[in-house]
Amino acid sequence: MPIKSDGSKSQNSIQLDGSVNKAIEGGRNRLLVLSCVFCLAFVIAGIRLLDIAVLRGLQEPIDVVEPTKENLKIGRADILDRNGILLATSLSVSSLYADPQEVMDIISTVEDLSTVLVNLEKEKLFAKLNQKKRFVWIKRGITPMQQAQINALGLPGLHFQKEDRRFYPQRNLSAHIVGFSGVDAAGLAGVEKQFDGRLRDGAEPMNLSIDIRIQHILKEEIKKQIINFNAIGGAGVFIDVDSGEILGMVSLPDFDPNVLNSASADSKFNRATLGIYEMGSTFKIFNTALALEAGTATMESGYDATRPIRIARFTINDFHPQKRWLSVPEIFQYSSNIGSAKMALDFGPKAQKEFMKKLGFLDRLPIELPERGKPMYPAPWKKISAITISYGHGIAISPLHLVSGVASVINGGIRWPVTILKKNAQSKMVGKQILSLQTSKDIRKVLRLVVENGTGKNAAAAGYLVGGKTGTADKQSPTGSYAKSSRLSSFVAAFPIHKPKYAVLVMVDEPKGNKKSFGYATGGWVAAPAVRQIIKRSAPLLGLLPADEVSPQIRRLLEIKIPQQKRGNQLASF
Amino acid sequence: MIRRSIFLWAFIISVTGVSMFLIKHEVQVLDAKLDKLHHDIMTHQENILILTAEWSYLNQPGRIERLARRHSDYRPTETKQIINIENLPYPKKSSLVRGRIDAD
Repeated sequence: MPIKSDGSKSQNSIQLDGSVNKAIEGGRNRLLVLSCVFCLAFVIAGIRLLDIAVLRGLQEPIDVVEPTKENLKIGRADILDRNGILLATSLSVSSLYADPQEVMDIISTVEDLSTVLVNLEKEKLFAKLNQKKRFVWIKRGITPMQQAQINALGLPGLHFQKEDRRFYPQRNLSAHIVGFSGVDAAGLAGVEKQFDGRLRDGAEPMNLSIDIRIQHILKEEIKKQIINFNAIGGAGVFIDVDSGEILGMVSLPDFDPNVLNSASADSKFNRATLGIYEMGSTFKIFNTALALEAGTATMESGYDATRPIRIARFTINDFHPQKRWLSVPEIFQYSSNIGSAKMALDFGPKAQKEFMKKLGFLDRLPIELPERGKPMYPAPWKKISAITISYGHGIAISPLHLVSGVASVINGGIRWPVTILKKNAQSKMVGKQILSLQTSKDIRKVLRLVVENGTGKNAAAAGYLVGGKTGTADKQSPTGSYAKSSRLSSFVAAFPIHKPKYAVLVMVDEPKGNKKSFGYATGGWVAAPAVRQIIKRSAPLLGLLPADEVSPQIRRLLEIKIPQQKRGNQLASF
Repeated sequence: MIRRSIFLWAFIISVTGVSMFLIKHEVQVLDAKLDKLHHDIMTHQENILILTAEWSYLNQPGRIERLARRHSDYRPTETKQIINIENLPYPKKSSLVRGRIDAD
């Protein structure tokens, strides 16, 4: 714009110019600010563009999360046996519920539902639907078929909800180990309870040490003997002596965890881990082991078992009396209580208690199950206790305790904690040496002697070199007296005994003698045959080849020279 | 000149718009497909779970044993049926040698 030099007009024009200028200036300023803002916006957009296009690389933005195996798995983790066989799994099922406020005709709803759901308690449902609530369960876990039928009824106010339901395909077979969980998928017993947290948020299935085939064999054979001898129950354990892994563990009677309502309290009771019993003569294994370890007896020494021992108000007698001097192997072979008691008196109660402690017989087992029985033992541990404990009375332990103890005595003297979890190459094993290898080897010999030529002949499974010990304990009645009619017959065995790999225990509760057993209901008649069958059937599954039992190598390992009676001690008559 | 560039821009914009629409549509279709696939995977996964459970149920050792006893002649291996290869009775060396001589 031209600037006028005219003074008179200039005032006016300046004024005019001023006002126009002002407007123009204002417009310019606005334009400037606006362009600055736009510039800034473009710069920001440009930077962002550069950032996305260049700096972030050429990645596609990740919007979709691919479903992985983990988030597809519904609910609790599976439980598998050592070979991957399914023991427990979660299936999604529909549950029927109602919103009573939406139900129009209660009576016809109940009537219509009862045509689809049999066993429906009509009165109860009627009362439920009359409530002022907005949510009542009608039936949880219905079949897909029922769901379709209910949908077809077209009743208002009924809804379905997907729920997790625990399913145990092996039914009774692993019931006591796997345990069970409730309707709301909370573990209530067994592994389900012990590892509730781990199963809840773990997608990885859990591998147990159980082998379902061995479990089946164990159950079958014990069940057979329970029926044959009209017993009230039984228990069995099958373990790997070099790792403490439990391959099979049954308690009978058992139950089906899929139908808990019909299971009795007795059938849910785990006799193998929770039940504690006076195990009887099988304790002579530990008695002999301790005597040999302590050096108070040797394989060549012996004791006089001619006469019963009388101490306090007790008389200790033999079931298979030989009425003569017996060497240590013979005391074991004939299961002499008198000889065992005398052996115990030589090492004394203190050493005995210490040894029982080392074997873990005074504490609950560190097994991964909530059902663990607490042993009962005498306090104070007196001389008479030492005598009765020498042949397995006066101390009560669970059957699993016993097998665990036997495994540590025969495997070379190392105590591995028993476990129901499968071990792998990475598993850390912490064992404790509780006996010398030599003692362990001696015990193997006497165990073999019992099966070859003693009370356990019925356990001899040809080719698998079974060694074992019978046990027949009189059960204490609730009043504290021992009843001859109610017994606990057991047999604990290890095989192949020259190089033990597995230990088996079979225990039958209150068997009654039958014609076939000539009226006997002892461990040798009731439990030993079951052990023979179990070993015979399971050894091929475990890849054990039958050995030549009379081969010189094996003979040398198991040979015992039964010492003759010492001179001077000779008795005139017996 | 200005007009020509305007036409060019308008053309570019419309081409971009149309192609964006087409791509978006395609993505929507693919998305729906993906959803369906995910749903199918879920259903199959659930069915697999049910089938594994059933498989395990049908393979209970007790059931297999019962069926095997009824329908098969095979019985568990007896110990005497298993023999070590070293214990197999081979023809004696001398008889082999003689055999060769005879053949000559």
